[in-house]
Amino acid sequence: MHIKKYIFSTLAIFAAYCSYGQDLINRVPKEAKIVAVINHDAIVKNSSLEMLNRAFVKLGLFEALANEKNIHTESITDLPIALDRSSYIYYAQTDSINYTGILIPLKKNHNIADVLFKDYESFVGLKGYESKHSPDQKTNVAWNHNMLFVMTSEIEKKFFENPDNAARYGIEVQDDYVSMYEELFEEAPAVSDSSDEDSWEYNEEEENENFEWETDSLEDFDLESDSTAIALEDYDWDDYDLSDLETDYATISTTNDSLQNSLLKKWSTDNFPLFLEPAHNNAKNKGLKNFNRKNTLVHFWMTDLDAFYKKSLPADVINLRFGLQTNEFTTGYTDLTLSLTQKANQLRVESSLGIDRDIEKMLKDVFKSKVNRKFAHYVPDDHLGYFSINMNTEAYLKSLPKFIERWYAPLIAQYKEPLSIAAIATDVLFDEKAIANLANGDFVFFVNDVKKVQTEYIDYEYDENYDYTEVTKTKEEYIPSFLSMFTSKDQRIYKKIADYSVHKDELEFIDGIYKLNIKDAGLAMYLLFKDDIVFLGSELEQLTAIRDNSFKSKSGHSILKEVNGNSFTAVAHAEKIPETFKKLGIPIVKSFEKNFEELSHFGALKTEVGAIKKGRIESAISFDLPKKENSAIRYILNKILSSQDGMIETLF
Amino acid sequence: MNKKYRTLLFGAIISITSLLTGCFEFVEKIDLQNNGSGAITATLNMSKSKTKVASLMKLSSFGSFKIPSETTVKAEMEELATTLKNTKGISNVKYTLDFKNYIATLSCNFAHIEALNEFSKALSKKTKVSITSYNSYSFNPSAGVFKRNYTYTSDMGKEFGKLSNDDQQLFNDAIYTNITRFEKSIKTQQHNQAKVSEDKKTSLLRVKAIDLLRNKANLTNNISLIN
Repeated sequence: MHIKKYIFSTLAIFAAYCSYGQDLINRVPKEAKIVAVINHDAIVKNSSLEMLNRAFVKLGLFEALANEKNIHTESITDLPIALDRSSYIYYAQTDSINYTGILIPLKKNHNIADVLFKDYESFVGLKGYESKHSPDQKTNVAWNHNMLFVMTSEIEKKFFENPDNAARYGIEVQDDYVSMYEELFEEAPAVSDSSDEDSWEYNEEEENENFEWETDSLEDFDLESDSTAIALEDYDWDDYDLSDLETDYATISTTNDSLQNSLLKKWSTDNFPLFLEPAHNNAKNKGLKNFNRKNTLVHFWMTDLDAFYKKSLPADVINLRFGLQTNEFTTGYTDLTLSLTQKANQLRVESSLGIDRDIEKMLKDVFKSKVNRKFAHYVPDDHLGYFSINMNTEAYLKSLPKFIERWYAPLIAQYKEPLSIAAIATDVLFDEKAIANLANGDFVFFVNDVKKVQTEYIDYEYDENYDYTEVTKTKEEYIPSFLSMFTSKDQRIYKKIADYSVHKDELEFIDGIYKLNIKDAGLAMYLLFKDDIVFLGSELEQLTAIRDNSFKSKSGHSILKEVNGNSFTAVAHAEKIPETFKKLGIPIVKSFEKNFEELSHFGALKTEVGAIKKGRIESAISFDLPKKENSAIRYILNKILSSQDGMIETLF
Repeated sequence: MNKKYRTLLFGAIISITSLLTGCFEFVEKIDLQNNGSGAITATLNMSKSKTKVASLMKLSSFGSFKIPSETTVKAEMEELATTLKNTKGISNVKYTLDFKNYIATLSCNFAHIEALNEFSKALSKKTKVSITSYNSYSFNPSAGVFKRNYTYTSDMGKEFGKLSNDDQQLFNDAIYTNITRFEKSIKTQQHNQAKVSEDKKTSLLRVKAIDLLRNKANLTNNISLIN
């Protein structure tokens, strides 16, 4: 039995040693609310050491290291950082102190003691580590043979705003300077009360009339009978020495600061070992672990989003300005992850937002929707970009009362009851299905390639004696055009409005298509009702082809597939932008000309927001960079290397 | 003169007119009597770019440039006309603004051509841009000599130089036209690009805006009349 225990203990210690030695995620404490992971391995493998070195030289990073830290090198391989593992940076909160921790993996036989923290003071920390703290003791560092840990801390301001906490540690809770100032003048004579009979009230009519002074000089004012003037004149202002007030305030502040600093130093040092080897860590945190190790360059995770919102919002200001109570407001968001990934020449930022059960229940059906299949027949092949919305109108209207109760009512607590009544009223009064029949909730908008139009303009013709007359000429111009569509199963009201507009000469109706002239711009828009789809566009040829069932679309099905997977999609084909700008005659500043021309080698810029799955909303922004480098990060490094110094200084 | 203000103003003029792909014409017509009095009409015709102008006017700003609204343009024009009316020697001031074709016209009579220089001075004072330093007129009725002095201003050229080569070429279609009509016939004129009408009483000078901006064209002209 004893031997078994001994063997298991040894194995456990060995496993702990190994786990502490491997991925530093084991050292990210449970208290961490925000964590960033820098995946060195993916960054190096997806670019190249040689390019990274040259880029760092160009950015002046090695020069900074030499000047500030006396580390002379022109290669990141000379640095003590282990490039096959990941670094972690986290932010942890306790009720009294906030910590920022940095975990850096180190190579075997590193020489960090020779190059860093030379002005730090050593102290006896945990066994197996070299520990030091900064002169002000607010930063503690420790390292062993394979990792470096740096921790800084700051006092949580609200901790000492609590009178009990302040009293326990001898902190004097004081009002702010303004309140102290007001207290000082509590006994000063009062200015005339606005409720007095003689008080002046703003009268708009009087204000607008010509006003004449009834008296001509100050002598006519009877100062002797003015009670406020007497009181102010008689008052002994020497009783109020503002310099005493300032001194008192400064003394209290200084004492408090000094006490808090001492506490911070003590707590930082005492808690440092608990963060160096946390008893409870984030090793099993899916939000932190589950990302593509091969392609993710940087990964970010954040929890307690509601607490973060409440802490960052200036609640008092919002309350004062807008009357909104953000303390009662909860977003329903639980956690957030962001990953910067690259796959070949595509750079991508993927995010995943966790939502609580209530929100998931409310939103799930709203975004459980498919775009009308028939849209696939009407996708213009040669488009510059598009965006689409895909939601269920009926489910949204049914959920509206719940949205009001959940999100808006807490913000205006004084109107909570009336809002609840309004919420129920919308449920009772709205016929969600009938409204949904007007607009299903799917909508797609395409920006077509530019189209040529004939426009008229005024010019001058001169005779032999240079007398000129105005003549009307025509010219060809390019203008952008669009095509949009949405599903409507009940189009009666739209058709009625359109027919009424025709009757009023606001619209023309020609062969089944309504035309709206935009007089100032010499443009027109066209409206067509076909099957259960409403089309609105600026190209008559497209709508005519749709009407006649002769519209050709090759890319319809692939685009529809893209759109159906998301609640929101936006795509812009960057490669078409330079040519479009040229056709439209939009000028480009010389300094940006080269970069702008390069856009023609880029691919699509895409934004996608997915539907709700398992309590999460996934989204992504991606950009296809030029293929010549075969890797997005290589392309960016090349841009840095080939750019001028001025531009780098501007960027950094 | 406030150099920064002048540079900003020229930058705004260059950038906004370049947004119109350079398709505009500025026509300045002067009818001069023998006694030195006359009339002047200045027309800015942006009709060829009206689609773009119409689109721009719907925005409040484009990049860093504020786009004036129709109301602002009317107010500014009214102020310009008032300044002109208050200039000694100027009378019968009229203006039109066509917001369909984007054509603006300003006209007035003058007792003597130098009154236009007074107007330029008043405008310079108002806008703090020294217009008189680069454009002025004079007429000697007894000698029958009309002079227009023009000096290139480098600030405008600098702002123009910031545009790409392609965009500078867009100004190829922008034209400045000056028509000066006399009661007497023209004997000689100094400007080699200026033309004389069939009846010999009108001088026409047309230059590309791009040449003015690049200092490749000049508006200085001395016209002698037959006495």
